[in-house]
Amino acid sequence: MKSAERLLESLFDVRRNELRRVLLMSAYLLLIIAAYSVTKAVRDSLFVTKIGPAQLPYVYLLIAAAMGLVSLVYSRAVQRIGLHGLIRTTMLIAIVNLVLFWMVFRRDSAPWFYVLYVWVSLFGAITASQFWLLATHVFNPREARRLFSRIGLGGILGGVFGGALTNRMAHWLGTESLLLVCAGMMTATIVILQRVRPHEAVTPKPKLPESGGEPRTALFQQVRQSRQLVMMVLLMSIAVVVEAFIDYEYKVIAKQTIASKDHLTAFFGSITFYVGIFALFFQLLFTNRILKRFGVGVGIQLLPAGLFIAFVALGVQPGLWTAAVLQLIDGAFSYSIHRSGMELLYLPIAPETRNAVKGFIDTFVDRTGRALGALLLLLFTGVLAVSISSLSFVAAGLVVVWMVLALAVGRQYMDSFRRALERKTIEPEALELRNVDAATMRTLLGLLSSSDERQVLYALDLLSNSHPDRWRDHINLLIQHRSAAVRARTIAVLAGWNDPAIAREEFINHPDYDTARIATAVALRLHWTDGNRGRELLNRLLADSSPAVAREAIATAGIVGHVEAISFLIEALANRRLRRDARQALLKFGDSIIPVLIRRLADRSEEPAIRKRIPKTLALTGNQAAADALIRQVHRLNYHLDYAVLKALNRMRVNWPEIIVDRDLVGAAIDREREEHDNLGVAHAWLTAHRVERPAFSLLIRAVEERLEQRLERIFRLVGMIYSPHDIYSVYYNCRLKPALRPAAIEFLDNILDAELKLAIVPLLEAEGSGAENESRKTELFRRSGGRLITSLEDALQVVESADPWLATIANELQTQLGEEFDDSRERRLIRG
Amino acid sequence: MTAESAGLSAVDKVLCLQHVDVFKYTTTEMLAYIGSIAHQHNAQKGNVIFAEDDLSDAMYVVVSGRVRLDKAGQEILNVGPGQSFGTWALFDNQPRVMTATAVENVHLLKIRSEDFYDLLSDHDEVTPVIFRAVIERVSRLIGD
Repeated sequence: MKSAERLLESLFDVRRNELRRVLLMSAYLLLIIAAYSVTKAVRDSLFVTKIGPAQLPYVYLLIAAAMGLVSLVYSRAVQRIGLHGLIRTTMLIAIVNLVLFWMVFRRDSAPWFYVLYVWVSLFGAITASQFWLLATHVFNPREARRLFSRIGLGGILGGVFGGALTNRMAHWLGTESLLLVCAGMMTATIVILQRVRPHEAVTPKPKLPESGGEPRTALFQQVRQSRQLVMMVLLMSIAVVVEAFIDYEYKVIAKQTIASKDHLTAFFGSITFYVGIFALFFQLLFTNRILKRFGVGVGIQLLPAGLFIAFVALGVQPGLWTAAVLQLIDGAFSYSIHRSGMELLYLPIAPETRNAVKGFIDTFVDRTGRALGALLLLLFTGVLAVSISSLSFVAAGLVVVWMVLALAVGRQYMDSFRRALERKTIEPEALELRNVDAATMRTLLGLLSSSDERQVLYALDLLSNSHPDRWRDHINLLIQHRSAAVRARTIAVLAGWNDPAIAREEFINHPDYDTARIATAVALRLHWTDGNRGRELLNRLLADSSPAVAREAIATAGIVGHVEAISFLIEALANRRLRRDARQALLKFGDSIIPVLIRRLADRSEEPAIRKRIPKTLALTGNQAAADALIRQVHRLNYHLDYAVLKALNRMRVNWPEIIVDRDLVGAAIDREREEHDNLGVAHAWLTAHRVERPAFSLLIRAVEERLEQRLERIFRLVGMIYSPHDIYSVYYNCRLKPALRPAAIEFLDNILDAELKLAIVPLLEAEGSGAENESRKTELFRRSGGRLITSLEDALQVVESADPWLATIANELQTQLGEEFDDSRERRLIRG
Repeated sequence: MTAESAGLSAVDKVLCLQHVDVFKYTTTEMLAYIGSIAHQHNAQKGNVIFAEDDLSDAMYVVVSGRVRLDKAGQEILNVGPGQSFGTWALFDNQPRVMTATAVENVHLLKIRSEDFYDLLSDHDEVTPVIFRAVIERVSRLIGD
């Protein structure tokens, strides 16, 4: 067993802790693809024998319509159920449906053959998309990049297995009974599903590509703005149209040649088997070699070129073997080199655009291409009544258009790639260099000689996924580079690959010792395994005396999610050299960091410099939970921390308008601020009316005025949390800095605020604007301060002292300066009292 | 220059600093932060506080006494209580362009640029108001 594990590890680069998940997920994919292959063969056989291939264009149209409808319903349904629940429900529905189909097909019932045809297409699309969605939760992004191609082999093997099973069992059990076999396979997937556990604590609710994000028109706009994307859409569309012709002709000829239903099912199964075998071998042996040697342009020409030959052959000599070759070429190239080539075409597209439009293009092209193909087939077979032979030549014509488009897309790709390198929009993670062709690689290596340090660093990042053998000629140049950052990154990438070059003298005796440690910190990020050794090393680097080393270690801790470092990262918020990096690293921990930060913020024994930086960090999460936690902290902290919290909440409201701050809590905070403002206002009114010629007294009045100003600003900040921040900021700005606009600003505020807030805020601004400390103002303040009566300096200083430590400091100093005079007055008051 | 003299309170320091041009937009509380990094120094009459071409590493505020600033032996300025000198030292590391000499026994507040930058980093709300005053001063100089 151990030796088998070791073999898997060495052959497929699957680590011991991943082995169980890889095997389970591969088995899961194998089963669903096998089930799909079997149901597809059953469906095709039943449809062409019971209904007839002439009706196929109509079911293509039905599938296009049904996919649109289902994606709409599905996207709403997935918002309500967790991923596991959703998959389990889908599987249970599929099992019940398969049994029902089996029961229905024992009696010939024509409409049900249409239903099965559409159902199988939907089943294939939904189960595959659910699988890959589940996979992104079972493996972290780092594992996913390494393992998905290995797991994908399970899918190809599933096709081979499903095809072989169909071929063998169709005669033995009968076509319809194969549906029960599929139901059995689906039951096995439920058992596997129980054993697969996501790596995340909380399973997010999944979304289909179209269910969220930008509206359809915006996506169209994004596609239209990119020449490369428009050409790809055209290319993919024509491929789907041709696919409809292939499917139709293949099934018509198969039906004409094979009369028996079970024989037909077995034939479809055997073709699926050979397609799988051919695709598997082509993918393993030729895809990378062809793409690397001849480039994407040639890679995407192979499928249409093969189809052109097959269509011409079918036109000249229509028969089962030519139809089978057509199907083989289509299946084998589509699942191997063509898919890899098409994925590469997305590489120069900026990641945000790619993520937004890829799902949309796939579904849009599939539906419209399928519908267009169906309409063309109806035109040629229904209206013009052309023969299969002539239809093949029509299809060959379409394939020529496809080849011309592929040629243009291939050329456009290189231009887009060069531009993307200049703009640095290609992500290192997205670049699978083993598939990159020589011309692209030359362009990339050219960047290493660039005079622009940033370009060289970018090229190194892109090359970090590629074995150093591919850029070894440049190592000498890079290790002696004038830029320390380039030297460090070069060593980091080499260290990441455990390349022997790092044992060279230049590395060991590197003049800049920091460089080596920086390199190590970066290398840890590139090949993190969460082992004890890695964790200890990272902890040491976090505590490194060199800020440059600590910064790289902090970045690594965030990227790999090193939980042990969280405490250190929070403390680093107080260090101005590390603050920015620590904040970014903390944000990488996602939602889980919010409660930890809130605890440290609320902890009175915590270092004030650390507490002060926490609100901004929470604000940058852009998370509703962070906003909820922050508003609950207002007036539970201290004067300055409260202000930091208010600023953080304002930042969140501006940057993420969808964030809602609890209205009741904001209302309560405004009341509290207003109360503090009024108390100080009463004291200020008394102090200005009873001035004492002491510098500390003038300073006290100035300090109180500053506090009144700050309290007012806080009230506006709070109002900005429940109204448009932009509007509220404009009012505040106009009131404070543009006296001429004050009346209009107050009028505007009067119109937008609700009655309660209006009463609390508008009089405050009106009184501020009047400037005079008149009797009505004093009366208003007296009323608002709850009838607090100030009749002496002692009363005024008491109010001021209770406001905050800084005012208390000045008040105490003033009392000291006034000395006996103040004590006498206090004594007299006490006697009177 | 002699060692540090008897302490000024936080309020006293603020009262001294509040008239310094580059601190004109700071709040009294911010001045208290700045006061916390301001060290007190006494200089005897005739002592040179800094000389032309010395390294600029601190600014000074006069608490009491007078200081003469001269360039190439010619008096440029004479500063008294509440006034500051060597302010640009906070913003650049260029050599001093004048020599500062105590005309009488002086009591000074000295703010080192390194401490000042640490303070700006810890209290980032101070930075914009300092900038505002500096920009105003530079505009005035350009206008002149």
